[in-house]
Amino acid sequence: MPDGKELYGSYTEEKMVKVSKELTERFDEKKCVAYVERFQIPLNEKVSSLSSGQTTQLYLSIAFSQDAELYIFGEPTWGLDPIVRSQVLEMIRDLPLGDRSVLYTSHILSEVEKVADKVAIMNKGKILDMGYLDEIKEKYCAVTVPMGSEIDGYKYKSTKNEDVYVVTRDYAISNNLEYTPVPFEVVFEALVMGNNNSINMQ
Amino acid sequence: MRKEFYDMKVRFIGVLIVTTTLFFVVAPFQRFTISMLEGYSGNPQIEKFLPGAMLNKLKEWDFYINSQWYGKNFGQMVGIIGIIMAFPLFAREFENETIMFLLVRKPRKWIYFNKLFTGAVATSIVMLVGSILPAIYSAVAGKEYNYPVVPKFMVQSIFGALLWYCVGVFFSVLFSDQVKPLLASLGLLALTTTAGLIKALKFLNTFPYQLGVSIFEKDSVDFWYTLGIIVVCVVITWIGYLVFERKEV
Repeated sequence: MPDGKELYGSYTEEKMVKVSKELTERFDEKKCVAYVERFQIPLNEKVSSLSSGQTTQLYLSIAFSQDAELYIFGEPTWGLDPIVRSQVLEMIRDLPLGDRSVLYTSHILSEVEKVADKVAIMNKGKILDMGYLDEIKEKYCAVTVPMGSEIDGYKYKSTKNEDVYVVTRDYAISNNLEYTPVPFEVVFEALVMGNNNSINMQ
Repeated sequence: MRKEFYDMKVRFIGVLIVTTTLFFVVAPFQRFTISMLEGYSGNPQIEKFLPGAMLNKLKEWDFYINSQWYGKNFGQMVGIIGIIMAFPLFAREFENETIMFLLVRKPRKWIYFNKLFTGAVATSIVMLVGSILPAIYSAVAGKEYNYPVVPKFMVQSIFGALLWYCVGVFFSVLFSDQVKPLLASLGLLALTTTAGLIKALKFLNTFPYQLGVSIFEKDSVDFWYTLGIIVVCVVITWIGYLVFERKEV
């Protein structure tokens, strides 16, 4: 499921489902119609008359109805209202049963935390860190040092007399620094900004 | 295949309606045309372009319908119909960004040849209908007609249309909006026709083939030109495929 969720505007939803069946391997038409009805999208209207959120829901219905080994979603909740977004995240969460996997790309980290077991943080085409979500959160922490101290890490913020750095927990322990856990969003920001400023966080 | 037919349904039916309507503007009016032209007899300007002998020949149903349909109205449309059937095939998918929907589901080779063959079949059906109309009309209207000439005109119409269909498909792959392939194909049609006025480049003008000049003159299909068209179609189709395979979307 690509970022740009463009479907055939001249088709009705019903026709769109039928065309998807023709083009998609291991596609369950009944399941797709059930998803469309669950999203309360009228089957006899033209795709062009759907709102952006409804188009995304139709696209998701088509994607969910394929029995694939790997589902790739690019920003799949873009344009959805918060209630539908939660429903969709729940559906995505239910997908990887048996041999099936989901590769989910998003800038909305709260969503990533909801659906992902394993995460990879990417910046400028480079994977900065990858692992189970809990392991990544465990791996990094925040330390507070006197202003002007130079340590290996990303300077997250400064107070009047102190600087707050995000560093690896190993680094904090080996340097006898007092540390506190940080949320995933802060880890993400530290790694990405650190990569942009070429700061060594390994 | 069904999706492609569905996508070209409007164009296909539209072209069929135009072709059939045009036929019924020509076929039933033999007497009217002749009487109108006879009214001009004696006018030296008209005599220059339409000698009396030609007027007499037009009184024969065979000559009238073959010259006015295959050799004029339908024959002139053959290349344009090929272009009309081809130009939106890929360009519309690029323009509307629906190509992504196809590319995540099917290999590029499948998409390319599926679209190409479906359009080619639709174009051939239009040509088949257009070519067979004189035979059907003659049978229904009880006119005496030289039926063996129909398959010959049909072959030249189909290959004439397929040549420009392949050109249209190539430009449709090359460009990412629908206007450019249409203009480029029509531009090339105009260019080759004009270039064909030069004796050494006569072969570039496809109109004598489309209009069935060899059938009128020798009562046979122009075999070598047909073969040339097949070769050109295969080459253009293959280049189009290579472009499509490498095209960034």
